[in-house]
Formats: sequence, structure tokens, C-alpha cells
Amino acid sequence: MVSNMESHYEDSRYPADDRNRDAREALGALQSDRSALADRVATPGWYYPLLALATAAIVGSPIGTGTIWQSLLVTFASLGIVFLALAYQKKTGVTITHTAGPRSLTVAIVMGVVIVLLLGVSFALAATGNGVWIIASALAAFLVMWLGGRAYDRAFDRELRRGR
Amino acid sequence: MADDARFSEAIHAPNRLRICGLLRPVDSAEFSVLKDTLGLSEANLSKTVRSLVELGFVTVKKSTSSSRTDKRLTTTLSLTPLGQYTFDAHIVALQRLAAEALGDQ
Repeated sequence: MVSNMESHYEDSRYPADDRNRDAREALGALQSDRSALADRVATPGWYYPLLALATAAIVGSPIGTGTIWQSLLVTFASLGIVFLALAYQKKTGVTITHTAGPRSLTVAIVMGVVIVLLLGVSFALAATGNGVWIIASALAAFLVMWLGGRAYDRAFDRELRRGR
Repeated sequence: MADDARFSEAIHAPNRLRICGLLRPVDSAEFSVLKDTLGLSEANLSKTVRSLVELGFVTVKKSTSSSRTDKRLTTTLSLTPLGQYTFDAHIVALQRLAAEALGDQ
């Protein structure tokens, strides 16, 4: 039984059938609006390839350890990520900085952990004189961000449409 | 996320509930997004948003935006923590009512 109900929902003259139908209709309208919102906030096709490129540049930056190129790579890639976020916000008219549910949160955490690990691998390769293999690490980061980003979008979309 | 069910007459009016429903999963949304998605007139949406602001459920921010070619400010709306709590508790109440109906069938 619903607790703390107020107004006509507590009124015994308001039939339970009407009350329950009213609740179902309200939930249905919300779900329909969420679907419209999910269509609107869908990530454009160019978003993840560009984000993957910027991520790969950061993960691959240890290849230039000790040179100006490392700082330049990280700076431009970071600026690129900021511009991507702003472009997404401009296109959709909404700002979203959190996940839509447990599945999208899990995908985001896994992606974050893998990217950080790959960055660590790149630094280890640079420190051990195996700099050429950093390209493989950067390529892996590119794929993780591109494919993982699409998996994140699918989870986010599903949770947004289904959510409250 | 509120776990307890609390029906709120203040948020239950259809347009109020739909506005809160769209703002709940995002940090903020532009006024035009709500207008287009909900299919409401500008006057109707403004009036409903004003009442939600007075209730302390929604905040409104006006700022310049690169998405506009004129000098008008872009209006951005967010749900306050009170608005989030009230909306979540209200949805739990609605879900229980809807479930009761299914149980009766």
C-alpha cells in the first residue's frame, strides 16, 4: 500500500480503479517522453571515432617522453575532448554527466579502468625502451573507446527508455 | 534515489510531472528541448516551469550560448535535489498503484 498519500488519492470517494488507471497513464506518458529524449540525446556517428582518436593520442603520448611532443599531444587531445563535449551539448541541448543505470555505469567503469591500464602499459613500455609497442597500446585504447563507447550508448539508451 | 513512496499532488499535474521526468536523467536541458519534446506552447511551458520554480523543484539559468545567432539568452533548466527526491518518491507511489491494479486483474 502506498504510504503518505495526499489529497484525492486518499479520498475514498475516488475509486481505486480510476486511481490506478491514472497512475498507469502517468507512467506511460513518462516512458513515452523518455523515449523521445533518448532519440534526441543519441550520440552522433562522429562522436566516438573522434573521442577514440583523442584517447589514443593521450595513451600514446609516452612515445614522446622527454620531448615537447608529449605535452603537445596531451594538451591537444584534452582540448579535443572538451570541444567534443561542448559540441554534443550544443547539438542536443542537454548536459549529461552521469550514467542512466547500473549497466551503463558498469560499461563506463570498465572502459575507464582499461584506458588507465593501457596508459600505464604505455609508460612502462617507454621506461623499458620498448617505445615502438606504445603504438599497439594506443591502437588498443582507440578500439576500447570506439567499441566501448558504442556499448555504453546502447546500455544508456536502454536504461534511459526504461528508467523512471 | 528515494526508496519510499510518497504521492505528491504538487508534482502530479501532467505537465509538471512530464517536465520533471525529462529533467531527472539529465543535469540540465534547454527550454527549447522541453518545448519540442513535450509539444507544449512556450506560454504553457513557461507557466508550468514558473510554478515548479516556486515549489523549489526546478532552477532556471539564463546564459549566452554559441548555439544562438541573436543576442537572446538561452534558458536552461535543472531539477533541484528536492525536485529529484519528490519526483522519485512520487514515481514509486505511482508504480505501486499501477502494480496494485495488475494484482487485482
